[in-house]
Amino acid sequence: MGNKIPNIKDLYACLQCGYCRSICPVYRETGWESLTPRGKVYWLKQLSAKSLLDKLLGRKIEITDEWMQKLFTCTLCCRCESLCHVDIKFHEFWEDARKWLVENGYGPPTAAKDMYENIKNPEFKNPFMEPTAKRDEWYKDDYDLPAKAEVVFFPGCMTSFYEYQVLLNMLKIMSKAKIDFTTLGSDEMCCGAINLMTGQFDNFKEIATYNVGQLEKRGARTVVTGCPGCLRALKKYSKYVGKSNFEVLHTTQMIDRMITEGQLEFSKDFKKKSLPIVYHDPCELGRISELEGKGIFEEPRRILNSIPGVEEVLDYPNNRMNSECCGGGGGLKAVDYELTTKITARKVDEGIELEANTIVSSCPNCKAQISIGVEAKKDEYKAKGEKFKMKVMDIADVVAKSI
Amino acid sequence: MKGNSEIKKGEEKKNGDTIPKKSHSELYELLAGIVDESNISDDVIERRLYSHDVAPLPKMMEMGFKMLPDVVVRPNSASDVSRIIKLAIKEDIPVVPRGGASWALGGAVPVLGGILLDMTTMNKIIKIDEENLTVTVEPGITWNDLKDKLHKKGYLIGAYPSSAPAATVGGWINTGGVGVGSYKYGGVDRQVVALEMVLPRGEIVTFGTSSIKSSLRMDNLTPFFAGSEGTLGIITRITLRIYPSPEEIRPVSYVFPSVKDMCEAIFEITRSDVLPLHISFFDKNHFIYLKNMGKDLPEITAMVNLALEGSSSSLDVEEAICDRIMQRHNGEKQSKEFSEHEWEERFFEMRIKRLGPTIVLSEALIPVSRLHEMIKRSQRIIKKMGLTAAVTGMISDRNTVAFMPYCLTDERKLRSMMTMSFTKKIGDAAFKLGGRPVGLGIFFAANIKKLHGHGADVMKNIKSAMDPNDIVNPGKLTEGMTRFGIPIPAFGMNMGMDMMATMARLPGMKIKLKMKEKSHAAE
Ligand SMILES: Cc1cc2nc3c(=O)[nH]c(=O)nc-3n(C[C@H](O)[C@H](O)[C@H](O)COP(=O)(O)OP(=O)(O)OC[C@H]3O[C@@H](n4cnc5c(N)ncnc54)[C@H](O)[C@@H]3O)c2cc1C
Ligand code: SF4
Ligand code: SF4
Repeated sequence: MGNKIPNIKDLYACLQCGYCRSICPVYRETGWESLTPRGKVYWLKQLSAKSLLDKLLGRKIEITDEWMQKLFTCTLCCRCESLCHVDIKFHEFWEDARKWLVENGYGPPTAAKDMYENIKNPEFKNPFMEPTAKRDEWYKDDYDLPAKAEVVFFPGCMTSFYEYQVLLNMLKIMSKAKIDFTTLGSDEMCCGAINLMTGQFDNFKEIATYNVGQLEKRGARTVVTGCPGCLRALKKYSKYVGKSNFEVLHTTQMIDRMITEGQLEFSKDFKKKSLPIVYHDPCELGRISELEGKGIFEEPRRILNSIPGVEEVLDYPNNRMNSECCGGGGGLKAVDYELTTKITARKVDEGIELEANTIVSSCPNCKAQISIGVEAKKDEYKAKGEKFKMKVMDIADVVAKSI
Repeated sequence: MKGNSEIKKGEEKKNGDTIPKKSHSELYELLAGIVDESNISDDVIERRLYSHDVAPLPKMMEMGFKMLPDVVVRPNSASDVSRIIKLAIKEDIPVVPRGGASWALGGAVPVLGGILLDMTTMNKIIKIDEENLTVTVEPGITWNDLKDKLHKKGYLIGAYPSSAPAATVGGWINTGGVGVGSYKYGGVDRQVVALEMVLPRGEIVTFGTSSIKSSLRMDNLTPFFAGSEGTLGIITRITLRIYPSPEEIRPVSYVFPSVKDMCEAIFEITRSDVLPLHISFFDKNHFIYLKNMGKDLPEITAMVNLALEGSSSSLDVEEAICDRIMQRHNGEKQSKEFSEHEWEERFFEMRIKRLGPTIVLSEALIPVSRLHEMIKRSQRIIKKMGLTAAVTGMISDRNTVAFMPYCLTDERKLRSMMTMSFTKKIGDAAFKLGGRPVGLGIFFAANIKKLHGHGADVMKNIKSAMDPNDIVNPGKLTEGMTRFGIPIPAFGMNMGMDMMATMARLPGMKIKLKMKEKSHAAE
């Protein structure tokens, strides 16, 4: 084994109490110890303490391909951190462990490697092999965006290529509020969150340098993104390329500001039959951002509560710091797609139990993932000859509908 | 789930991974006739993860014990379990039940390999019976899960272990523990009204009645199985008592200038009219360790946490009585926020492990009247062995303290093995004061003779009569057993432990843990 296993102190601190296991969504759906935080920590500790004695006793302590896959079978939701008996900082721990594996020639899973290559490829600059030109083709004819502006909107790959409704709605909101803004257009490159998530750190600095260069070229003082993954990655850029001239905000923070400062006025009621709304805290926006400094919990709720016609915003039974992952995080989709749908199904079921008619989140990944869950539920009902209805929206979608 | 099982048939190796009769894949195939393949694993890494509990045992142990199970199975019903046991009898291999694996005495750790039964798949609430105030559950549900779900329906579970986020109902019954709530509602044995079990010959039976209270008679054997450490059968369904949720649970904490004051205050509480839900205590070192971890805490010499439960107006009265008693012994009442924080922390008593990074926990039951004497004795042991240790515990009834000192060490250092004997020494001290160590598991099975004299033979006979093939969790409770099937003689185990305690005192054997704040032997 080349370099040393990171966070050895944590490996030894772990009590093996199994508290973490009780709230891990991956364990909940699979049931095997090897897919629990406790089990993963245990094996890492065994690897770190490997000695001649293991050989003598015939204990095979090694990294197999299956085990590597298991380490990646995790949504990186970091719920485990919220209950850890000895306060292991899992929001760093899992990334470090994956990085260590990759640096030593194990993994990452094929799909993660492909995404890394696609981001590197100048024809794509995104993980999904979409042509760069597609990034702004939804709006470039309708919006005449300036070459330079105070605010630069950074939609991110997921929003640019798949959840473009959210993108268009955000453009509408900012125009309505008369914000001086622009985008990086087809120059935008993936933020690099996928690289960090999958242990492929080596070119993160290059990505950061490129994107910071593009943002500064446009004179950005504020960079705003609706994707919590991009938000965290953009905030990390300064660690790699030094301090930059802009602050990074999430769209919910921006919209919340616009409302308090009276820049945004609502004119239409939220559709009655889509009420009530339940709000899902995206892991990266809420809990993980809190673990990294400040979680964004109240802004989205404040925004929803200020929408005319909305009297009450429901909460999931486990919310804020304890929010349960929608299943779409951590690049798990690339490792075990079926598992993500099982995790999502629970989220949809809970929405049904709450008698909600709309699930709102503030993350394009959550929106996409929960929509998949809702579609699956529709099929399930259809097979029984029944009908199922549930709207899935991003906060920007909700706001845009009321202005 | 077919994995990388590593050993081929007939490939008998001298390592921790041999099986007596069948190859792993044959065993796998046989089990696949009983449960779905997604519930079986013979993968060697997976099996390793089921070869331990919270105690970090030295690898060397594998020379004596075959802790690696041959296969892990997750049953879904009593009938699955019954069929697995029948298969095990036919193939002559052990079956070891496992819950959350949060115990530290190896009860759920195989010593002769075999089939490991992961009971956590059976984790449903079957029925909340509001008429008879009971709840019926499967054994693999965690106490936290059960507690929270009952709370939503307006009910309280009498007692639960402070490991509730991980410990299962089946696991706690089998360790026969006391926990949060035991002062008022008794140990786990008092919560159980009926059990469904798969006995070691494979028959599915039910004991107790779930509607009305059955008295302690021969026709209700449920208490007999509490604390049987998984050696008398597999629990597959449990009916527990429940209680209406109180209007309020009110935590109150008091700090004392000396351990002596604290012990006297506790004694007086146990002789008073108040019946708190829970009483726990901590000595100075516990807080010094927490401070070393950067926790912001005041100077504390000794502390008692009470949790009162009932209607708010009755709690006002109880709180006033407690205040008076505590004040008489120089107890200083802490703020509401502090007390509430302490109550929230009841599940996290081992945060200090980070300092060790190894923690050796021992537990003994002693009379409340001897608490101060026990603390003094423990402190002498701690000092003599040169350990970094603290004293904590809870009061489990008016006469009993669950005394739980822990010591911090470092498993990477040779000496850490010696600290195992700390547990033995504490047990010895408890015996001297009319108490006894808690739990036998693999290591302290030898104590059974000391505890019960000839009664131990009766217990062994019961085990043999119920389990003539020695299939269910062999090598535990009534007999410590090594991988070669040779029992560990009581005196051998005890001597070994004593020898380790002596060696621990040798100068070269000291482990220095880096700490800013120095710990003290309390007065
Ligand atoms: C932080 C912490 C706090 C703790 N606090 C307490 C406390 O307050 N009180 C206390 O008593 N203990 C406490 N413990 C010890 C331990 O958590 C408890 O004994 C717990 O109840 C064990 O449950 P488990 O599900 O983890 O059982 P396991 O460790 O998995 O098993 C315990 C025993 O039960 C057997 N078993 C498990 N399930 C079954 C079944 N279905 N049928 C038959 N046998 C079975 C096993 O073979 C084994 O012998 C604590 C431990 C930790 C780590
Ligand atoms: S909760 Fe923390 S200490 Fe406990 S097993 Fe999980 S990682 Fe280890
Ligand atoms: S990050 Fe989430 S999915 Fe991953 S181990 Fe922790 S709780 Fe489980």
